[in-house]
Amino acid sequence: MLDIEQIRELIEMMVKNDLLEISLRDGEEEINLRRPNQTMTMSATEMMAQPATMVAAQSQPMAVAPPAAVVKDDEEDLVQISSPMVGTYYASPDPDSPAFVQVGGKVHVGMVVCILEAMKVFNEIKAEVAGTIERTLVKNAQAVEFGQPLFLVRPQ
Amino acid sequence: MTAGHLNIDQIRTATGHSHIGQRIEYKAETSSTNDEAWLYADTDSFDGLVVFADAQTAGRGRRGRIWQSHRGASLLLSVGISGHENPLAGDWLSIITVIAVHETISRFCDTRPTIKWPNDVLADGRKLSGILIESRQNQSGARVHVLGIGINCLQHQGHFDGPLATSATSLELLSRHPIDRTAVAIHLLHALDQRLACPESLNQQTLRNDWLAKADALGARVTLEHNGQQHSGTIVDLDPTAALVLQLDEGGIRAFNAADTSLVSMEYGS
Repeated sequence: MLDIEQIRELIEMMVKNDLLEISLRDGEEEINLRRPNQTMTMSATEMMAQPATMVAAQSQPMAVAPPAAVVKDDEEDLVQISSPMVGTYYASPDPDSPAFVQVGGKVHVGMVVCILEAMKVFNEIKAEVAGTIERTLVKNAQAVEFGQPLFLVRPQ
Repeated sequence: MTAGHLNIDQIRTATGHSHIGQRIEYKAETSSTNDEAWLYADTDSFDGLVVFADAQTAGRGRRGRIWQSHRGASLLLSVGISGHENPLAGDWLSIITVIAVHETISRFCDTRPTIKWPNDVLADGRKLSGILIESRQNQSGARVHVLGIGINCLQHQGHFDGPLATSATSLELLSRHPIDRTAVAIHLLHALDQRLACPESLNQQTLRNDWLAKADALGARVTLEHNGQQHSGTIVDLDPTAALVLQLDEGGIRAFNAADTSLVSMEYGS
């Protein structure tokens, strides 16, 4: 049976090589490690009674994460502002302050649109597109994943 | 001059050859030392900059919580960090900072401190320090960080009002000797410099082992709240993203990220 250190090494290898799934079988023992959308599910038929989830395994290190991705949405002619990291989304700098952006409001390149908290680090996320916020796709204090769309923007 | 006086010249001399503290600013009073540090974000002197203050008029903690401190009683500082290519420098910044703070507090405190996951330092179950790390892109597009640190140094029991009366403490309350904030500051800057001045040498395994040992974490029983549900189990590891890994009572092993998990309770192993 694999011990926790060996499982940790497997996880590190998966993250390092951007592998989504590894299956190991040795006699009656079977272990599956999966990383769908940066959410890692681990199950081992002999090790545990039920599958467990390894949450928030970031394949993209925060310090080198790309700026908020801008992905064109062909269907609606809108562009997405996506999360560059796993974290918690905050719409305002603190609970008593107004949101950085609101639906119908204008954004410009470099404007702070939200804060993402990851490992107790509060990361300001800036817009990479100028336009009008059409939709906010996440709620305040919601957990978000790497690449998850946060806003839809109608570009200028 | 009292032992509690923050001697900036002495700190500058002690960190003269260090990366962290290569530029040191002091404000008798400011809104927050993090705000002061951000003023330098687009300058060459940001990386390694340290800003001290004796009083903050709008000191902030996590999500707008107020960080209270009587003038001159706490060590209040912010450190500018930028230009690091090693992802550990960002991913594990919270862990690196609390290890340095714990190391410093251990040096001056007669009671052995511990770490409440992920980055609070406690002694006798009471909070001694606070850390607020903020991250932004500067004008050239680089992600830069400010480490805001507050350590309770000279407070007496009467300084802590309301809920803080039973949840906070200070080095002075935990030490048989007078606390010299200057000495605390120098020790902290050296501890940070040791890890942050050369980020390419940062080693995940070393940080993991260091944190687990300082937090007395391995084998500790904890209850966490994640997505509105409570989970209990035993700490078995920190994973490569610095998430806390539990052997759950209900079966299975699961990692919890600090971003969306809060610690409800923790009992240390024997």
